[in-house]
Amino acid sequence: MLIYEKDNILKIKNKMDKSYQVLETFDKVVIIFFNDLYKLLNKKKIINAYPELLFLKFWLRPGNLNLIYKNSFDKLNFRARLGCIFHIAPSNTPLNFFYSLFFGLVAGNINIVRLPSKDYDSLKIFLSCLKKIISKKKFKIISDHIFFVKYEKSLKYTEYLSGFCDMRVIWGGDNTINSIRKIPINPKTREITFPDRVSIAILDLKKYKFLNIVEKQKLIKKFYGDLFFVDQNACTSPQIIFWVNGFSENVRNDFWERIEDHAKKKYDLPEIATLDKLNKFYEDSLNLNISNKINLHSLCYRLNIKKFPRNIDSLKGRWGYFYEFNLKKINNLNLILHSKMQTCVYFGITKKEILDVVMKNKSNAIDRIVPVGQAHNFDGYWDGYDLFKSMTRIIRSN
Amino acid sequence: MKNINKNKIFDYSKNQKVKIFTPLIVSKMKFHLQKNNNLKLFFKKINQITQKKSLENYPFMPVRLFKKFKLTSINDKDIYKIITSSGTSGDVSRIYLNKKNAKDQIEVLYNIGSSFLGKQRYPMIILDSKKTNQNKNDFNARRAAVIGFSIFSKKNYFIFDEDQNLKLEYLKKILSENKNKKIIIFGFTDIVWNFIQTLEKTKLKLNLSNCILLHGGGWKKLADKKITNDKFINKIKKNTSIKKIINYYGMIEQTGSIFFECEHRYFHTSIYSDILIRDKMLNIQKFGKEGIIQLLSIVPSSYPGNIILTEDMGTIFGEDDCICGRKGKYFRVSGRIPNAELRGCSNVNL
Repeated sequence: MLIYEKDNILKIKNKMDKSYQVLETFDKVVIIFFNDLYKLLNKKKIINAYPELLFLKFWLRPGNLNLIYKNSFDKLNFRARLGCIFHIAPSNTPLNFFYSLFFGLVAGNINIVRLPSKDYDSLKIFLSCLKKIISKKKFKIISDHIFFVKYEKSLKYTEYLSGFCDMRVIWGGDNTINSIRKIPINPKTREITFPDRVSIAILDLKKYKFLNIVEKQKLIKKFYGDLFFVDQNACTSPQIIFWVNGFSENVRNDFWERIEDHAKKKYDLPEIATLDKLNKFYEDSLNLNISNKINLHSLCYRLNIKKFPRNIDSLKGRWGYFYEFNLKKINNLNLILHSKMQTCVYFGITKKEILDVVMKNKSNAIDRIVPVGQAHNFDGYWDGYDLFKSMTRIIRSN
Repeated sequence: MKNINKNKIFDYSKNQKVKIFTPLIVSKMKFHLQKNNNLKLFFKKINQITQKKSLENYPFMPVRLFKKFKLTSINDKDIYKIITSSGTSGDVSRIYLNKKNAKDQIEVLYNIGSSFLGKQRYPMIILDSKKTNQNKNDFNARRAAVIGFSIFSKKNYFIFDEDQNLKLEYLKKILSENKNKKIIIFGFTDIVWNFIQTLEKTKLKLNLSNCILLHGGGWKKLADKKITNDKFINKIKKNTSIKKIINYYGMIEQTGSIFFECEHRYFHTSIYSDILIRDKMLNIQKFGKEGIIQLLSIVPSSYPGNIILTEDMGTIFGEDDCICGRKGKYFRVSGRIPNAELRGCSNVNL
């Protein structure tokens, strides 16, 4: 398994054209490959030191993969691979590229994957595991379907790879998408992009109030994971917490004190995070109508805002910085939905209640509605796309 | 400030200081709160504003705010001078001074400086070019420092040319003209470093034994090169005969009430200033423990810079008992707070 760097990248097309063995969608060899990868990761103790690797291993467990295969399968139409997919993965997370690659392979495509330019330890470990598996003879065909590339800012290579791929996948940041979009792709080439998003949570105050202590702790533990995963900086990280069925300060205080206690035990933040939060808070004090007072010595800053702003771009905290809004009833969601909103985490209400509002709303807000604890679960459906299906084409045969 | 004996600014013990310093800060902050609407809004939603006498509980201004907002407590027509930070990153702090504030800065700087350097004026060799100090529109921190420290100077000698190269012959000439006289060499720390390196390369042993090196700021660039204070001093001692080196630490938001390093290499607070160290949760850190540096100064009056939270890390080692004999807190600065690596879904590399 080779990582293409510098002008070696320019040899990929040639190399690709030389191999002719082709994968099918849900190819058996792909399924065995991922199963073997899982088994190997399971044996490696070192991965326990890296949350993202542990997460990946857990994700690769056979039970989960079978479910994903089942959900991805199209019962109505025959699906064939697209050809070659150019994955531009986030550069500030070590392993996110894998999930994009996974669906590319399940769909039978050749995958050119741009790796993060930084040498993360977890990335190195993962690549060495991958190498061990892929170098087996039976997986030769898989290795012909993966081209890792690594380069610093370079128009040249992005242009080259964009020039012949059949699909370009750009894993966000608005700025990244805007600048890569200036680089043309072929007329027949597909593109999907994952722009900057904001996520929300809706909690039922009454339901929370009547939980017993054990249930409360269980909920807090799950919600903590949603709130603090990758420093609250993922597009799936809840930024705004909406309360329905009551806004009692005592109940909310109880909720946040429990989150605070739990976070203090589990979460460590760098000094710069404290300064970032402090500065954000001062800025928000000028720009937003905040009704509560903030204790600067707390880990969670929560600002409850009286009037919901039209522009939600600035409602983006990090390192434990949350906005809180009294929605009163779920129907009021209609007034504040915004096309930037991606994931809606819920507790105490049903997904149907949320779905009903979302479906009738004129914005195209909300692509995921998930119970507390599942904000960051990735099941192949993202930003409204079914990744497997997006990476295949239908062959209509009547 | 009238109550302060300016010949004894390092002689106030903790108990004596609190009686003068705290009310001055409190009254200045009260004034700013009346005059500055932004400040009022900043502090409005913090739940521990207290009128208690302890300044530890008083809300502070993170220095980044001076980059993002125009923060003044005076009318625009009374603005006499705007000092900008010499930041190269695009974001620049702007400090709005009226005449009084500008005058206070110089007075305080003089009182602090002369306590270390003596009251006479010296020839001053400045590690900069004349040109960068002539542009009147660009009143940045570097120029402000040169002008500020010129109060100790009998005559300024700029020994760099326009391209910031050393004018070696000129330097030799100055040195021979001022033989046996005390001379101050003044420069930003990173420029001093470059200067010494140039001397090292030329292999010229200049006689600088009559010079006092006064330097400060610019530590960030040296920290990036992993150059510590020890390394810095050793290099100077190795390549020059300079005996006295004085490092200063100051923030553009609190120009005037700067901190000089004593003979034992600790920065000292004077009656004009104070320091607190805070941990990650912004609680007060004990002496001896490192944390975020908060600085207090009674100097700012035309802008709300009396209580600021810096982006530097440091440690207080004690109060009133430094072996150099000066009262006040003594501390060291360990450097800028490191930037964190951002995880998340966004791509930063194109």
